[in-house]
Amino acid sequence: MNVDYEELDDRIAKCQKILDDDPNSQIFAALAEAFRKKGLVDKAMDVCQKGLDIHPEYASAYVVLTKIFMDQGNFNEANRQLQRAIETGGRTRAVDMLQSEILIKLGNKEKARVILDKLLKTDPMNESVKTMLVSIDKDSVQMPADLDFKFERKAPETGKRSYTLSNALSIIKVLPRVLGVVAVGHDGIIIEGHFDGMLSKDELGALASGAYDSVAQGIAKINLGKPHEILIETLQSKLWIYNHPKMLIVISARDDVNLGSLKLKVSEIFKVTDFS
Amino acid sequence: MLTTKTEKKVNKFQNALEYLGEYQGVKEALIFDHEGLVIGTLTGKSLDAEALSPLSLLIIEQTNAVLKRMNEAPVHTMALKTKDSWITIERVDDLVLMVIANLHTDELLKVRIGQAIDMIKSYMKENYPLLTR
Repeated sequence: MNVDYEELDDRIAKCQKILDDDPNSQIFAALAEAFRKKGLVDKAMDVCQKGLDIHPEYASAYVVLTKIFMDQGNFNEANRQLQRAIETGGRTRAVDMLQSEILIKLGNKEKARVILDKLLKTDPMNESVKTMLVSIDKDSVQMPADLDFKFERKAPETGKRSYTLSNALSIIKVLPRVLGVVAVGHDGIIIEGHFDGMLSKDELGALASGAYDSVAQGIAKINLGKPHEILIETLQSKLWIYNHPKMLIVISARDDVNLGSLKLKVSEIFKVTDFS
Repeated sequence: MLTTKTEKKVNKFQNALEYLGEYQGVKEALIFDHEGLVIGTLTGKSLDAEALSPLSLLIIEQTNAVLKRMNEAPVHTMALKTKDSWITIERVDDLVLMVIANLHTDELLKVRIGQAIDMIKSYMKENYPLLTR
């Protein structure tokens, strides 16, 4: 989801005012979540923990705390906090999704699959659930955390392409801080994609393809050739357009994405992807 | 006999460009304002600064139009990689810095660009405080 910083600032100001007026208010969870979304993880943690000292039975706050630990990459602690959320507030779909994500990160993919299968039965069109299932499905697919290791070990042994385009895009979609990924044909037709933002994948593809064309036309005027890669950075996000011979790959990510790491992982994934 | 104290005027925009030019792989660098007026250049013979500045602005403008439709903020930085070049276009307050380097220039160029931007910003703050944000 794209982050609207103005809206977040507005929300933070409102929540902060309520909390200032009434320090016992449960609004602290919403305030912590807004801080987290804005990337102010330490502040979010502080607000959330202080609030939980007053409201130790407030399940929603444990969910926020879970997300904060996930942002920090501390999945064991995230798991502990999520258990508290379940103990105090029971299970919800959101909790199940979080638990699946944490279990995958902790390497317990089979348990995650059981939860995701249940979620998919009740909501067969849920794109996020499908993406997560694809990411743990079959031995050819692995999660981002162990990509590098598996690639080093597996690709040279088999000498075969391991991923379909669909698989590759699904894996890229679940890389940290990636908001969406779309493959667009040079004719502008969307081939495949996953995007959770306000736009549909078709819109993202069409707009990114438009951006690529305008840059390509501009660069052509100074005889610097066709761009094979364009990175557009705004204060909110990053849009990376990669010109593969057969298609444009468009990756939208949060502004705090580790671009070097993302490029490395995408490059490794594409090395073993069958684009035909 | 009267003596006049002459102050040596230092154009720190040019200093920033020269600092960039010292980096291995950098071919061209220029600074221009939001209307395309070239303020400083460090160009080789191959490209015309007067053509590069409006072109860069056009690219930024067209990209911004697309970003607006995506509900995104305007461009802050663009990096374009072609067959043999790595082009960086970066907004620095009301100015734009464009750097063209060889494609295989190492990634630390980004750090050098960041340092050049700091030099530009500091010069802008000292001399044109109303134009800085």
